[in-house]
Amino acid sequence: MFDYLKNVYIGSKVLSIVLRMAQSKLINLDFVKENSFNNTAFLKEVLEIFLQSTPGLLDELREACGANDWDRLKKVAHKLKPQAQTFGIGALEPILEYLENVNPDAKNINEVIEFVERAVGLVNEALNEVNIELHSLES
Amino acid sequence: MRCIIVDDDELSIKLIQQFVEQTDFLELFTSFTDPVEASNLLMKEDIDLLFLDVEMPNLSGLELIKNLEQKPQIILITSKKDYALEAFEYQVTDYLLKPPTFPRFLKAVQKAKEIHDERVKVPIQHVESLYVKEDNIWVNVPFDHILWVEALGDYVTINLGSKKHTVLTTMKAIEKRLPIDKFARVHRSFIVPVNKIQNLDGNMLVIEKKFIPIGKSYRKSLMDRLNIL
Repeated sequence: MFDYLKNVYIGSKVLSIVLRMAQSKLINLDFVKENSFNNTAFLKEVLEIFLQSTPGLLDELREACGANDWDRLKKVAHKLKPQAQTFGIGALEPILEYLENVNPDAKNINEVIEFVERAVGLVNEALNEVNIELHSLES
Repeated sequence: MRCIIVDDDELSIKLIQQFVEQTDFLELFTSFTDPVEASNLLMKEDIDLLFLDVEMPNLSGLELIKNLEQKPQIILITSKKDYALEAFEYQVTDYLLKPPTFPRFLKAVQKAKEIHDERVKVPIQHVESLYVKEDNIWVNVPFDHILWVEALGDYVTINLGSKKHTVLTTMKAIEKRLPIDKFARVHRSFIVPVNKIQNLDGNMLVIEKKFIPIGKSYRKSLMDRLNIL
């Protein structure tokens, strides 16, 4: 009886940790998985494309910000938007929305830099999570 | 329906490719990240449906549409709602926001298919032949005598068995002059009369001992037209 209760206790503890981990995930692959139609090769390819193409966009975002090239900044933010939606990075969407419509003047330039850095931080975090997902698919 | 995808974002292309593969009446001819290359292809090839992004470097999707003389049906796929009004001025078939869901994609392509099917139903002109110029004389070529049409560089040859006519034109132009209920494009370089196909062997067909290749992207529509037991 004690063993049974112990197992239930440990089981529920593990479950709560797993649930907490799941909740703290930045990305949500439901959209990609749903549209993969159970095709693992497609799923892997999509994750790989994200891992390959996104770091370059982050560099471009920082470069555009550093050069005060607001048109370019808006374009890069626009390019990142479907990626955020596809990979369910909800926290990134309002930041990209801000950057896509940015019209900086002397007053808010620091705010723009802050938003760019937040976007970069979130995308880097998403890249790590996607990398883990890809490894789990491969193993 | 033969379609192409034009988008500078590879992820979007991949997703649309996946949706096209799930849709039995669609056939992906190719996809482009460069809209200029797509524009060049659209001048040469008969494409029924174009999935087109709006914001792309060098040439925007809307500029690409403006430059096209003959427009296929177009489904715009973009991250911004702002272009919707302008897009419909160009009579696009539908407008999808990125990333589209499969049900929304399906709704758009079904609308495109209905339009396509209506166009195909239009009765063909009651003509039984075409005229080609040879040595400054217009020669009558009855459709029934044609065995195959073959592209040769800037020229097209119309093979009648015992003789052939070589004409300075494009496959796309000649395809439009032939009745679509009798002829089928089976390869980038070949059009054949469907009822004259004697054998099919793998990726080749035979007409009067001539082996003619069947292009990968043309195979499905050809097979659909044959009365296979």
